[in-house]
Amino acid sequence: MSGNMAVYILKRILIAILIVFLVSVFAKALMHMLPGDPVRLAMGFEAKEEDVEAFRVRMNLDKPIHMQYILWVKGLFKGDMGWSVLYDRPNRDIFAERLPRSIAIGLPAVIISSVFAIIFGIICAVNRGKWSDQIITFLMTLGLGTPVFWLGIFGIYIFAIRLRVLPIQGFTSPFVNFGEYVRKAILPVACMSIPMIAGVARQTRTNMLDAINQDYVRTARAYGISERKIQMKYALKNALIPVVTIIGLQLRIVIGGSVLIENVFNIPGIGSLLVTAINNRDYFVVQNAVLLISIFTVSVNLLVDILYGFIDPKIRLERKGG
Amino acid sequence: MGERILEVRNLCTSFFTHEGEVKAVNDVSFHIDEQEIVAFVGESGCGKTVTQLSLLQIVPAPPGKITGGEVFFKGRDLLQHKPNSPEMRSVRGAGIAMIFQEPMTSLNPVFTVGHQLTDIIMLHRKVGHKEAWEMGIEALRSVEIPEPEVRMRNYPFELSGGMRQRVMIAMAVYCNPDIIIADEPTTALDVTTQAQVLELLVSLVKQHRKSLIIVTHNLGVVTRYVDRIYVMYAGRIIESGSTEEIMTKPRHPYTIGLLNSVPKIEKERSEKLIPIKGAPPWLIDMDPRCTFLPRCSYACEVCETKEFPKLRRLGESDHFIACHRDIAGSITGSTTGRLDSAGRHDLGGEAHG
Amino acid sequence: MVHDAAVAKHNRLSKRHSGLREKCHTFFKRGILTKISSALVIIFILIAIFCPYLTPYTPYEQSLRNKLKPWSKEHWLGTDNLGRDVLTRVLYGARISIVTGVLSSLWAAVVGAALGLTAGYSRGFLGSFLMRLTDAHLSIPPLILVMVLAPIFGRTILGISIVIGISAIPSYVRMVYGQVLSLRENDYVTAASVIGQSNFKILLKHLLPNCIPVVIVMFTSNVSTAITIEANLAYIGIGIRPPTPAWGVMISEGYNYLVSYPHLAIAPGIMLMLLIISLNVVGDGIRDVIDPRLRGKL
Repeated sequence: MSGNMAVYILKRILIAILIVFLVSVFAKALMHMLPGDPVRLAMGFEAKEEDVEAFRVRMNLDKPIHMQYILWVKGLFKGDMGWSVLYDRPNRDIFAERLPRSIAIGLPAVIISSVFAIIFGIICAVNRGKWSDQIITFLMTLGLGTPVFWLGIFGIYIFAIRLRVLPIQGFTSPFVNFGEYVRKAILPVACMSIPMIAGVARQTRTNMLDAINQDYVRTARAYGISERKIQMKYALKNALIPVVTIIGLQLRIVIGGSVLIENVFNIPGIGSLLVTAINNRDYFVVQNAVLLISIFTVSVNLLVDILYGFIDPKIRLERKGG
Repeated sequence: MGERILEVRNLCTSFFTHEGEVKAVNDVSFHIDEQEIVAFVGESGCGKTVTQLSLLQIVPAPPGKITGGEVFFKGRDLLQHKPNSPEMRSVRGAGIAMIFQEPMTSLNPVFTVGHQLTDIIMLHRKVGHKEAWEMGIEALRSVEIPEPEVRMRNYPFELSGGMRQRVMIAMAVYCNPDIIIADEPTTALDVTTQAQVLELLVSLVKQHRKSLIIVTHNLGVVTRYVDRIYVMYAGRIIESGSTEEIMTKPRHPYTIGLLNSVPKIEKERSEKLIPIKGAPPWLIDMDPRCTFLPRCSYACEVCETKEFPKLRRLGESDHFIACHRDIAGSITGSTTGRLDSAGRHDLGGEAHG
Repeated sequence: MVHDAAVAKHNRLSKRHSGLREKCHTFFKRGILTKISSALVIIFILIAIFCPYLTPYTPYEQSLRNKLKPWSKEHWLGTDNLGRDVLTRVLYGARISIVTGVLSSLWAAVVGAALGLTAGYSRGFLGSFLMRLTDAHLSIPPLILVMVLAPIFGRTILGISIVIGISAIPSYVRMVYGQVLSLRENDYVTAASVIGQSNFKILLKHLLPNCIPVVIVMFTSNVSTAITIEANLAYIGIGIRPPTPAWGVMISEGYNYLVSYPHLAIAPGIMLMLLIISLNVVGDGIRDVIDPRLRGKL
């Protein structure tokens, strides 16, 4: 890696930091945008005035807003995410406990959906217009249009209530009991994957068809290269490069999906934490969750950008300054 | 000239679109002998490229479809084979190789030049990867690309347009085909590179004793090299003959117009280029009469009433025309068409090349 | 001899031009799915407008004696846990979904296009600041953003529409920004500024009209996204407040009775699914007709 690539990456990192900074300001401001007193809301209206005051001091809420912000960020750098009013525990402990559960559902969903999506996309493009393409395209239209939470409920109704082959709800850590984890995770992972499969497969199909119509495919054909090799080598590599970006975008959707899926399947992860926190006005949890999610998506985008540079020879060499 | 190597009879290719059937190639017959160089001339969309793609059965399908005709290559009718059959694939590259118009997009952007060259050489020369790589370097050297070892590891976008077209020529020549088809090989290049690349192509073809079909819209560029010329208009061949006949005694009004619209260095500066008025016809539900009729300044009553004229031989020569009338035009004659006030050299719809 | 009919047909065909009729033709040529979806969208819109006339009940009318009744002549889809007519609530749900979807997309389109035009035309500091803000905005998934903002604007149809609109703004900004950047390179824009037209005039006269097709295409695809988000929000209990008959609310309430009364959750779910899918298909069709180059981008 030469200087230019390093400069490029550095620039991307600086922009990412700027974005995270903007989001952190927004997250802190959220609490103050709400009508009413956040401490009152958090402690309830029966709480005594001196308790509320004492709490205000403890949460740094007696200080001016910019000081609150600075203290929060300072704490974050020390690994201190503040205190949750609702759970009466350090936020860090709550997040540390719940994050692995969200990952245990979200990560398999991303991997499974990416693999299936690319396979389906290729099948469609290669058999364009034939029945297999039409059926998969129709299913993709259905998959894209079905709300995740309803899909979850429908899945529970069919597989848990009617057929009784899967448990209704809940979560077991894969490190505690892997078999139980798989049984409980099948439905949520499947429900989360379906819209992503539909989205990425559609994109793969479009890209692949686009690649097959390019001049270089005509060249390969004119030189007697077999149709299979053209599709699986010459067109596929061109088609998959933009798909990397799409999979990066899908990770954003996973977060939204996990809020819904954790709600439907009663999985105590970050998504359900956020819902509970918002419903109970625990903005000390919310500001951390928003920031965490933003850091996650920004890093994924950064990673995709850098990865893209390594896959696409054109970008890679341009950055080398060749 | 040697034996007849390719004989095409009554080739028809159509594109089936929402609006209807577009007859891109309409009853085209031609031939080429060993070591012969012929040119296909015409405006954009006249079917000259589709004709060549049809020979190799690589017309994009759907919507394209070869609807009839015979393509005899070394005595075998290629259209008897399915487009993706092994027989057809063995002809592509090794029998007939094609060089395309757009050097920018004809090479795959995500594989190195060497990768693409060796893939094809391995396929047609039946050699291992290492030998193919060596042959690839040799091929690049033969098309006068400097530092071929380095260029093999380059991606196409790292090369200039002229370089890329040289790579395409190397690819074509090193498949050792009998016929090379060059579809507007120099249109996308700078004027200075155009001549070099064309010169290189022709000299390689002569050196390896191949036949060459050059497809072009610019007659002036190729006349020094070609033996015979086919002029196409609206999917049909409307005039054919030896280069000398066509250049000095064109007989079809369209060919006359075509020659009048080509700039000539030896001509006086003051002489104006004469464009052909109007635009090429709509190819769906074609007018059964002569397709050039709306643009023809020689049209008479016969043309208005009779169907499209069949290609007919003029006397004993190899000169054929598809025209009801028998006019003898001169290249410089200003009798054809109207003078465009701007006097631009404009070849009908061929403004973009 | 020449067939006059053939000559006439040729002349007629070669004069064909691409107008609105041609566009409709391309739209419906896409296939049976497009036709069915267009019909469904129209039916949903009619339901949304005329729902009070389609049923003798109101969606709020409770009758505890009649709670959780199966289907009958009086209540085609039975009643829910508070004895309300399920069919009535499902029909009114269409109204809420469509109003929220259209309202939020409309205001997102206006604000997003305005910001995108400003960012694209001014470039410089303002432009890059707006774009960084958009990046920051996009780094929070739309559903999360809507969730945290919903309590601020209130859990009414208007409040939720505003919030969903906010979440959709950055995608409009990006699209219009990109469009303006490429348009700026066009000669006629340069020419306009050379002959001394004011920036505002160039923006309004040359850039805005060229951005409108993209905005329309985005708008159509956005309505279904907005409807999905509204339903998601209502389902997790942060969106439109019960007892308003939003489909998300109904599904969430029905979930509690899934074992014995599955239709309470399934019926509004099917309606929601049908509406979103048909809007998607119609949106794809409109995109292909207006600007096929956008395929794969939206």
